[in-house]
Amino acid sequence: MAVLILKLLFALLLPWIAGWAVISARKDTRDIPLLFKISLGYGLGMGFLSLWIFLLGVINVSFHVITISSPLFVLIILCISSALKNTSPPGKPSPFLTFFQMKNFSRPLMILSGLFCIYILYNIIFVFWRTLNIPLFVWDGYATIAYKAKVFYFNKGLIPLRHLPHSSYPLLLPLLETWISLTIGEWNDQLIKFFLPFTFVSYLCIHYYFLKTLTKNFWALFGTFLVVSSNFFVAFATVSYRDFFMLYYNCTTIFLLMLWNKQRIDTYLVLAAILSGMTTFTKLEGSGYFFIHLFFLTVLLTRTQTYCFKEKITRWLTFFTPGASVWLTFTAFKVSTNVPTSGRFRIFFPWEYLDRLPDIFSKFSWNLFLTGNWSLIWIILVLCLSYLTKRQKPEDAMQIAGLLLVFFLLYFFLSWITPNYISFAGHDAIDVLPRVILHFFPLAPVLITLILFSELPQISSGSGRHNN
Amino acid sequence: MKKHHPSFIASFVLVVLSSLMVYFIVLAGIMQLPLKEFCQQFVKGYYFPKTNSCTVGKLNGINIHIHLMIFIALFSLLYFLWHRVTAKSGKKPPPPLLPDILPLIGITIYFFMLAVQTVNHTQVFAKEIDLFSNKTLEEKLLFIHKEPYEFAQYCRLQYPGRHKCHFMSDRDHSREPFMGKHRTLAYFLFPDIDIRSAYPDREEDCAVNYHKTNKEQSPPEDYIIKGMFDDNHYLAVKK
Repeated sequence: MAVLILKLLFALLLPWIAGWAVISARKDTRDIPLLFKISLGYGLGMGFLSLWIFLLGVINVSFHVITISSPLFVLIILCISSALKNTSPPGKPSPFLTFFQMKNFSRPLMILSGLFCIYILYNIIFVFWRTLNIPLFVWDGYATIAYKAKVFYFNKGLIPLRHLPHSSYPLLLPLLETWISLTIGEWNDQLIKFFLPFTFVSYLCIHYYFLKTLTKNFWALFGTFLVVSSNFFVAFATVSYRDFFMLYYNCTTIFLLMLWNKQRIDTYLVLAAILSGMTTFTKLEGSGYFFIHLFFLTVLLTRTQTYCFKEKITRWLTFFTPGASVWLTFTAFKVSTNVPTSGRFRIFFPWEYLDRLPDIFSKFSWNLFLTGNWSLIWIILVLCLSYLTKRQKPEDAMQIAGLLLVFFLLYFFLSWITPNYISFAGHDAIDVLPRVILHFFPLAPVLITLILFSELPQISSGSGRHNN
Repeated sequence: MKKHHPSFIASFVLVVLSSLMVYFIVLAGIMQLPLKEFCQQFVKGYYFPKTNSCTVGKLNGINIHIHLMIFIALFSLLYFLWHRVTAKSGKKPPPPLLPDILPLIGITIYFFMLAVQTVNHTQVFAKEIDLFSNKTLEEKLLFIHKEPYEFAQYCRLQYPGRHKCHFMSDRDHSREPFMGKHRTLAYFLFPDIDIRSAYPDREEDCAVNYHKTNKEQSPPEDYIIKGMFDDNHYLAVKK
């Protein structure tokens, strides 16, 4: 048992530390709280790992723990000394304290914050317990994701993707499950999900820190509480689906771009680029999200006065190059191995399918407002928009609102003019639509928090690092 | 909203909650249900964990969230009328405008519903702990996947190694409800037996007969039965 736990920790911590070390080695990350860097390091490390395993598979190198882990060790060795130097500035309080500090809270706020913490903690315990005690049971889990992982594990390498079900689907999660199995030396239908709860916790830390930077501690906690209150968000953190990873990469990219726009820490931009690229290696929808991120960056660059035109182009390319590289690498591999690049992408003329519109509107509204997936978050958001429409319009809130609109428009048009209608507004909508909404769902709690913070600044205290 | 004192917000929250209680009591009356039974129906109705969606139950044939929206609309209308009356009477400070307090109504109801959701969630959690604790992995898999898992384990025991098998069934495995069973079977048969082309270079040397009642068509002539799970499920291998 102890050996198994050590192996699992190795499988988890090696990519995680590598991701953290790469981030921390950069000089401009010195002032970023340790927990935030660790949480970002998780996504980066897992992304590196899966891409590396994929590249090994492409060049027909047999999957082996040593072959896979060597470059991660090299990365850690190369980065660790600068990383440690950048992490613990002398005389600063513990990073855990600075991350969650709640000084100057009034008694009611303290009680409320305590309740929020208990609720979040309860859900974290639930996610850990459920993931590690209930083996695979969801459809895509065994039909495609774990099935592919199992094939790769027993084959000790990739097999031609065209022989596998849903051959066009990206491989991040199957390869991570393969990695866990390789490390523990057996196929275990329960333990292959071992890293999922850490994705959940890492995302919560990122969500919290992002809100803490834009608002204050109380509101950051409130926003984290809001996102955790969604049944669907919590349930999907426990199952072997790619959607929670997609949420992690998509929302983290958006948050990093916004933080970069505020603080001009270039590491945020580079990280956003890599994580955006990782969305394309997680699910097919990632290609669309990559272009949304690119569009968002273009808008941010167009509006900023900080950079001259040449610098803007440089920043744009800094984002485009890593992200597009990931996307193009996997696409080129699919093309070269006769795998369809996308399952259902054929465009119809919209006027041929005007009769789809009522279905699309009703399925979307039913999902957002009349299911238990999202608690009452979307209803509250609609009510909160009454603030946005009449008085001052906080820039951050407007950016998030704009992005939400773009995501909805993307799925609206995909439902209308492509065969994806069946999945998003047809008979499969009950299963598929909530999963794609999940990818950008956290933007709704963020928007609610930002709107309420701008309206009720008196209900806040504490020491937001960039506010006080 | 900025101008209003926290005590106003606290009293307003209480008013919203009390009104919501009144709404539900009236609803229970319309449904002719005792309050206890109504509450049970309400709590159960909120959280049904399904694989890919959490549905919301109905009260009096109407989705609970629609009830909440009706309540918000009614409450807002009453507030609007009350605001008009107090504004005319010249009371100072005047109460906030309706758009100012709309989010507060929503958040109050949200916290109420979240309490209900959490009660239900803890029950689901407790039930899952009860179902899955003290079970081995095999017992859990059997409990979740039942027959396809059991049959897959049987076949693997009968014919270990690396084999590519022909899948034979009377049912259509390209669509639900049988598709799920086929995928589960394929997953658990692997790596000993492949029925989904994961071993593209191998020759087929066996046939997995799953839900196969038509004995005339199977097994093929050059196959013999290797293991009989039951009358409709068996494994045949090449002679």
